[in-house]
Formats: sequence, C-alpha cells, structure tokens
Amino acid sequence: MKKINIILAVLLIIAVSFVYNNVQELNALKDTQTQLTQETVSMKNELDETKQNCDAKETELAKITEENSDKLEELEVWQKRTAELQALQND
Amino acid sequence: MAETDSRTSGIAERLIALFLCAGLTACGAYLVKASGEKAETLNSIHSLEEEKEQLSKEIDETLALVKETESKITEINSLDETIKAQRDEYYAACKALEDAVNEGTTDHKIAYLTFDDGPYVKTTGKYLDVLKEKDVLATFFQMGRTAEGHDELYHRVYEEGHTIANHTYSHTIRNGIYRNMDSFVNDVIKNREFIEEKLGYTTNILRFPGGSGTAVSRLGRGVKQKVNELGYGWVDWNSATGDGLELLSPAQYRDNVLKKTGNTKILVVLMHDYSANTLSALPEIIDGLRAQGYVLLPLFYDSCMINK
Ligand SMILES: [Zn+2]
Repeated sequence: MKKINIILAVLLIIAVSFVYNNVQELNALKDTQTQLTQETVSMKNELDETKQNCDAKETELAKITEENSDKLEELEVWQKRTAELQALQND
Repeated sequence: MAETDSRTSGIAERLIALFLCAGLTACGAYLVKASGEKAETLNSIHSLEEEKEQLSKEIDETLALVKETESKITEINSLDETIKAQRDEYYAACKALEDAVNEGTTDHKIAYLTFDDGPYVKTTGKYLDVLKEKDVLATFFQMGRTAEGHDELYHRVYEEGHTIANHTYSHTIRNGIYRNMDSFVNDVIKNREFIEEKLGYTTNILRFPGGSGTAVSRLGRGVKQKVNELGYGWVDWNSATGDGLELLSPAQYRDNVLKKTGNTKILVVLMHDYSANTLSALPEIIDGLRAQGYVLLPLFYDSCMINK
C-alpha cells in the first residue's frame, strides 16, 4: 500500500505542478485578453475621432471647392490652353 | 496490540491513498476545465487581434484620406499662385513655339493681336466677345480710364486671359507726356500704379503712344533705355489695320492686315479697340490669319518681339 501511496503522491505533485503552470498560463492569457480589449476600445475611439476629423475636412473641402469654382475653372482653362499649344508645337 | 496498530496503519494508508486519489481527480477535473477556458481565451485573443488589425487598417485608411483631403484644401487655398504658375507655363509654351518659328523647325507662324488706347465702354466688351468666340488671346495696351463702366472692363480683359500692357496713363502725345523725360516717366508710373491698384497685376510690357519713333523723336534715344530701367520691355508693330490713321471700311482694314503679311513669320498687329470698323473686320482678320498658318497668341515679356 505504501508503494502505491508514494506513486500517487508523486503523481499528485506532478499534477499540482501541471495545474500551477496552467493557472499561470491562463492568467497570462487573461491579462493579454484584457490588454487587447482595452487597446481595441481605444482604437475604436481613435477611429471615431479620425472619421469625425475626416468628415470635417471633407465638408471644408466641399465648401472651399464651391467657393473657388471660378478659379478652378480658370485653372483648367489655362491647363487646356497650355496643353493645346504644346500639342501644336509637336505637330 | 500489534494487530491493532497494523490495522490502524492500514486504514491511515488507505485514507492517504483516498486523499491522494481525490487530489489527483480534482487536478484532473481542473485541467479539463482549464483547457476549455484556455481555448476560449485563445479564441478571444485571436479575434481581438484580428479586430485590432482591422481597426488599425481602417485608421490608416482614414488618416490617408484626411491627408489627401488636407492636401486638396491646401491646393485650393493656393489657387492664385497655381493659376499664375500655369499662366507662366503657358507663356513658356508660347516662347517654345516662337523659338521653333524663328529656327524654322515648324511651319506655324505667330500673330500677336494688339489693341491700343482702351478700354472703351462702347466697344471693348464687343471686342472681348469676338475674341472669346474665336478662342483668341490678345494684348490690350491700356490707358488710365476712370469713368463709369471702365473698372468692369479692366477686370474682364484680365480675367479672360488677355495680356494687359502699359500705354501710359494719359496718352497726351502733344503738349503732354513727351514734354520732357520726367513727364513721360511719371505718366508711365501713374498707369502702372493704376493697373496694380485695379487688378493687383504688374504689367512689364509697354507701348509708346505713337510708337517708339514718336517717343525717340521727342525725347531722344534715351527714352528706350529709360523704360527698360523702369522694368519694361517695349514693343512696336509690323502690321496694322490703319484704324489709328484714317477711317476706312472694315474690308480695307481687313486687307491692310491680311494682304500685307508677306513672309513675316511673327506679326504684331496694331489695332484700336475704339474702332467700330476694326471690330467688324476682326472675325475675318482672325480667320484669315489662321488660314495663312498663323497661331494667335498674347504677348509675354520673354517674347522676341519685346525690346528689353
Ligand atoms: Zn495709342
């Protein structure tokens, strides 16, 4: 009986050490999970902010494009004239 | 007694064995449960990592879009400079064509249409209409005119892409600008400041009222050097409708230009935008010059026709 108990005791020690390692490992994984969750939340916030900033910039762009439509047209006209003249020279 | 001890010890050993077995079972049960939990946590970590990667991609894309939008905003805010640079590029293309014409590497010829003494409220707008319809850029040698309706014309001439040049403020050939060098210089500067104030544009091309011959005959050869010192290049003409000299029919004005082009590769055509008959002849002058192989361009400072 003593022999069996010794074997069982050794097995238990091994099992406990398994459990100990497992607990450590699981805790580390939980920490990683928590950290990732926090990072994800902060990235979602960052994305929201960036999108808001992007929307604001796009609104600003639309506004000044509208305001400067004459100038944009004038630029296009000069670009066209230049291209035509350059093409004429290559005739 | 020994038997009792031995039995007690047997029970204790069994109890220890039982305890050890229970411990092993508990460990086993925990490990089974933990392995499930571990798998679940790993899954969650995996999906969080994927989510993070996706978010990071979206953030980068949005930031790129912000950057692109910002650069478009900057571009629009600097449109005035961009247009000026594009105008300069256009004049560089004019110069390249002029060089090719002079070197004989192209069959094209060039005609610079020039209109003096304006703007005129009654006629200049109509000249601009014809030029626009014919898609022609020209050069307007303008004076300082302040009466009602002129402001609009100065702006229109400039905004429609024509070159604005200095033709002195008052154009008083007799007993005025050519009395002495100071009178002339002051009148040139007065017109430069007048145009700058109106358009925020500094012209560096000048035509002497009556032409350089008149200016030299009144003020001596030094007058040409004087305008160069003032930052101007000056230009005369080698073709004209004659509208400044005598009243002729539109057909005669047209012929004065089209029948006298000769072999001239680069024409500077003198006209006046007060003339109703030149206005009538203008569409035919434009078509006729084009039919003779002329490309119609506005004058620019670097042109070989500008005396510097
Ligand atoms: Zn004149």
